[in-house]
Amino acid sequence: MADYDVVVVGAGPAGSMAARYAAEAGLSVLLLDKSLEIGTPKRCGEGLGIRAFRELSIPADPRFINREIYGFAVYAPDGTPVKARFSEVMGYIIERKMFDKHLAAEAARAGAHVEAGAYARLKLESGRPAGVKVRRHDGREAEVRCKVVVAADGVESQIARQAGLDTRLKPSDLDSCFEYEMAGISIEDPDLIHMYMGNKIAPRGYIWVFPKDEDRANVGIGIGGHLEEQAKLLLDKFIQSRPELRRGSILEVNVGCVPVGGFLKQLVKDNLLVVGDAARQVNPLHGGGVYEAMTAGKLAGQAIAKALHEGDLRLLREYESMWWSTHGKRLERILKVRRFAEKLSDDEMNYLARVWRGDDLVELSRGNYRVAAGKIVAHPKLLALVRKLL
Amino acid sequence: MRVEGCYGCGGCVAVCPTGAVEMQDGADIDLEKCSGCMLCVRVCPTALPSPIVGGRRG
Repeated sequence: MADYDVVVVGAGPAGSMAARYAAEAGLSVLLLDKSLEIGTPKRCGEGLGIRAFRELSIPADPRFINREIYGFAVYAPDGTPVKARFSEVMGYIIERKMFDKHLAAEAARAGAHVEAGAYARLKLESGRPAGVKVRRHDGREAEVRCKVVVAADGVESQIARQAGLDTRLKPSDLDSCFEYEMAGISIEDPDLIHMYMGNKIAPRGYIWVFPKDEDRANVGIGIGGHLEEQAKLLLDKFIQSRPELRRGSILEVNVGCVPVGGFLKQLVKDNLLVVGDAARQVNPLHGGGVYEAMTAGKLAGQAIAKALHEGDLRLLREYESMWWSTHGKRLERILKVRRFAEKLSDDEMNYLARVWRGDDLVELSRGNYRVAAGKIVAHPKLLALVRKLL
Repeated sequence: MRVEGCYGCGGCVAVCPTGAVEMQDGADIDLEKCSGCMLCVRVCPTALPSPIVGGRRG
C-alpha cells in the first residue's frame, strides 16, 4: 500500500509546481525539502522574466517582488554598453525566500502535504523506486511509500542518481557562482539589470548587478566551473575596483553552482521523474532557471496526474517528450549560442558591443542567432566563429 | 569528513565522479570513496574542500 500517490523531493520552483499540479488533479502528494526554511539558502540572482508570471499565472505579488525591471545593460570588457530599455515591465527581481514559499504554499493549498526540514533518500525495491527514506529535523526517521517519485532536489541531483540515472556533470557544465546582496551602493540605472562581461573579470561567465531597490542589489559572479579562478576572489576584486560598489554593505552572502549544459536526456525512469536543476533545465546562456524549472514541474505534475488516473505509468513519459519537443529544444539552441560566446576574446566582445544592439542580445538569449550572426560576417576574425555557430 | 565553512551550494556533489560527497546542511566527503581528483575543489566557488582532498592526494 502506498502512503501517497506522489512524493516530491525538493520544494524549489520545480518541485512545488509539480506537487501543486499533481495535487490539483486530486492526487495525494507529499512535498519534502531538506532545508529548515523553504527558499533558503538561495542559489540565485533573483531575476525572473515576465513570461514566467504570464504563462504560469503567477500574480505579481508585492510580497515577493522587489523591483520591476524594464531592460538590461550588458557591458563589454572596455565598458561599452549594449542597452535595451522597454516601455513595459520585462521582469522582476524577486525575493526567492518569499517566492519559493509562496509556490510551496500554493501546493499546500491545492492539497499537497508540505514538510520542510525533511531530508530524503530514495528507497528502491527490486531496483525500482518504491518511496523515500526521510530523516526529519527533529531526528525522527521514517519510510514513505508512493507510486511516483519526483526528483526536484537541485543541482546535486542525488535522487535521480540513486534511481540509476547518471546525473554527474563535467565541471565545465557548471557555473561556479558567488553573490552578495549589497545595500548603500549607487546604481546608474536601477530599472535595468546590469551585466559585465570579460575574460579577466569573469571568465566564461559574467558579473551581475540586479537592482532590488534604488541603492540595493544582488551583485554576483558566475564563472566556468572548470576554471582555476575562484568565483569569490574575482567578485571581491571587481567590487573593490568599482567606486559605486566598494563602500556598500553586505546583507546576504549566497553561493551556488548553476548547471549550464549537460542537460539530462532521460527525464523519466520507471516511476521517477526529474525536474529543474536536477535535470539541468537552465538557460545555459545566462544561467537563469526558475522559469524552466516551474514549466518542467507543471508538465511533470500534469503527466503524473494523467498516468495515475489512467492507471498507466508509461504515460509519465509524456513529460519527457513534451519537454524535449518544446523547452528542451530551445535550451539546446541556446547552448549553441553560449558555446559561441565562450570562445570570444575581450577584443571581440568590445567589437561586438559596437555592432550589436539590445534587440540582438534578446534574440540570442532565446537561441535565435541568425540576425546577430549576419551583422558580424564582415569581421574577418569572427567569420570562422560565425561559421561554427551556423 | 565535514567541509569546514561550506555554504552548501551542491556543485561538488554534482561533479564528484565517485559519489563521495553528500550534502545535507554542508558538504560531507566520504574519504573511503574519494579518489582525490579535486574536481570538487575546482568547481567550489570558494575552493573549500581543498585541504581535505588535497591532503589526501598529497
